[in-house]
Amino acid sequence: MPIQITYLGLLDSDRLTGSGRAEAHLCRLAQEVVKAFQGEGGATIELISCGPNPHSSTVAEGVIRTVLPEYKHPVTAWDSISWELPKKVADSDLVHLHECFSRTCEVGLLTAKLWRRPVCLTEYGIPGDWLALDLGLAELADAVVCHSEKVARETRTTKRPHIVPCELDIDWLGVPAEWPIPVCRPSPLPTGAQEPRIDYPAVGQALYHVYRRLLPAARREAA
Amino acid sequence: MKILVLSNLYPPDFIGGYELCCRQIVDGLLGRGHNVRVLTAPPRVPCVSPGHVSRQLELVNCFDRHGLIHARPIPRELLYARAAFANAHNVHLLSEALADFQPDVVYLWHLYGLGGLGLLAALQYMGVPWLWCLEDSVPRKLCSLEHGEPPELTAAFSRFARGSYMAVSQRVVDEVEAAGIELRDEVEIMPNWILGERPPDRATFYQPGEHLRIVSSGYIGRHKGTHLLVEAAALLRDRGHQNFSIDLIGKLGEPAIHTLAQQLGVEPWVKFLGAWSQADLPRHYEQTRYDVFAFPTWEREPFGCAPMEAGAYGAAMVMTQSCGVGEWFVDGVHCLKTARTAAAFADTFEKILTGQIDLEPIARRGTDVIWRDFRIDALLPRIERALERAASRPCSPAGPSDEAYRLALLAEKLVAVLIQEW
Repeated sequence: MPIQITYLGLLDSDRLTGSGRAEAHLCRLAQEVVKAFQGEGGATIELISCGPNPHSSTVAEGVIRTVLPEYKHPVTAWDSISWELPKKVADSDLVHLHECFSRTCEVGLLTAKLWRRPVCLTEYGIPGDWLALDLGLAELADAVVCHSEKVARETRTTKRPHIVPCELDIDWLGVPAEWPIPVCRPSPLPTGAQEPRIDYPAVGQALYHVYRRLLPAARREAA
Repeated sequence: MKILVLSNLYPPDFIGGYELCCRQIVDGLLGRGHNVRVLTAPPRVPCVSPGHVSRQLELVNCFDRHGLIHARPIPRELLYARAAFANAHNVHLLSEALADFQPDVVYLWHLYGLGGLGLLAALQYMGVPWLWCLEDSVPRKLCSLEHGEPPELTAAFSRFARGSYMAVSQRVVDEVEAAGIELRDEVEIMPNWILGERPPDRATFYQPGEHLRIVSSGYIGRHKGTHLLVEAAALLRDRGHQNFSIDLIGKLGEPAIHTLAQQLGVEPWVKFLGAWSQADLPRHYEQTRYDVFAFPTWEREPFGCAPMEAGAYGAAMVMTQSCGVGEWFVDGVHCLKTARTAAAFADTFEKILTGQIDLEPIARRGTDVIWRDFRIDALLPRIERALERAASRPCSPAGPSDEAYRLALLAEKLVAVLIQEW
């Protein structure tokens, strides 16, 4: 059975930027992780967000993009949530939260922990995620990934972060402004900033190793 | 065994039979040498608690109909959510009690008002075995939103909640499962019980021409069918019967029923005797020697101990044909079952008055079976075995209690945020 991995987070920003950058970034990352799992039974990665136009399609080999039906009308895109998310999480072997400022990630974290699914969290060091900071949600993650030493040093968790170098400025994908303003915060990136140069095969390999450490325990618990 | 009991309230404060039964079982288990602690909420009126009862949990008073009617929509939704879904304060206290007492099993009773889903999730997360006594369809209630039970939530409950259940009737199980909740693990049907010692057998029973003494006890309200008895009295009178009386014992929950009796002019036959303590009822039944206990309760009644309590003292039980307690007695053998209408109850009473139904054999057999099968002493060993089985069930690996608390905080905040944003 291929390993089922769920990616949550970042995707809501695309609804605001209209750029599709987050989806493209996660898709390329997922492709590399899927490649790394080849020969071990394989892996399927589902990129999940919630929205008004639910759909699901395969966007690359082993990579599925799914939009779950949104419940009611969220104040901002980052507040979007779906009743179908808990089942998706329950059906996963591992959940990777790519930020912790969206409601999808908060609910994903809660349900993943209740279902005893291992949780990997990418920490970007964004200040102001009140729920994440107030509750120290990084403490609940089984693995914390930081893309730089600097962020890793500043991350408020007792867990030792995994450093996975990646030249990605999250503002390029879009970070929510002060709630409830339904726009991205002003980006410090220069106007017309170019797409960051990311060594996706290397990042994918690094994530593969992080996941591999988490998965045996997950499989045991699922059994 | 070390048994930690969770209940929203605990006598002397109680809402209904759920809490009363909880105390009776706790007393029974203590009497059989078990180490039992009760974790519950403060009483709504001052009372003294025995040493094994800790009243520290927070009860969200979702049973205060008056308060709820006057609440605005969002505060009301928040209150319901805190009552059913998540209450981090209570999860914290539960984890402390678990660490301190280290029970073999947690015995769950009425969890509505305590953030029951959160408590259950915490037990699951910490790998603590549990047995849930279902005196009502509480799992369904905990999964309910304003417009019913979201199928995704009931499906998640079915998949997540892995423990043992003890339901008082198949009706309760069916009602829970009709909402999409699968109690797929161990479910045992276990009736409620009566207390006390069997009195001497009754020597005389109703004979046609005598005065027929009917009684009903419990909350006086439409869902319990009290209005049907008032209307049945009017029908009997209109059919020319005078030699009967109906005593109604219980809290007058709906004053309109008293007004109805006045409007129908049945006050000479129908008496409202007020609320009595459960402990005083047997003595009253023994002294008054009622012929019939009428129980026109709603069909979703999970059990209902009241007919058995009177039946134990020789009253023939006349009940709604498909209520929970009816599952345990055979119509025409131990009791009389009838449709839940005033006319149907009046017809049954009339048949007794005219001798078409001989009450004595039914009442005798009812009394015999109650004292044989429904004494608490007869049922406690089965409950002990159920607790032992629950305690030995394999559980998921124990997650740390601080994580359980953090998750409860997250759940509590998320629920509050979601309600307020929508």
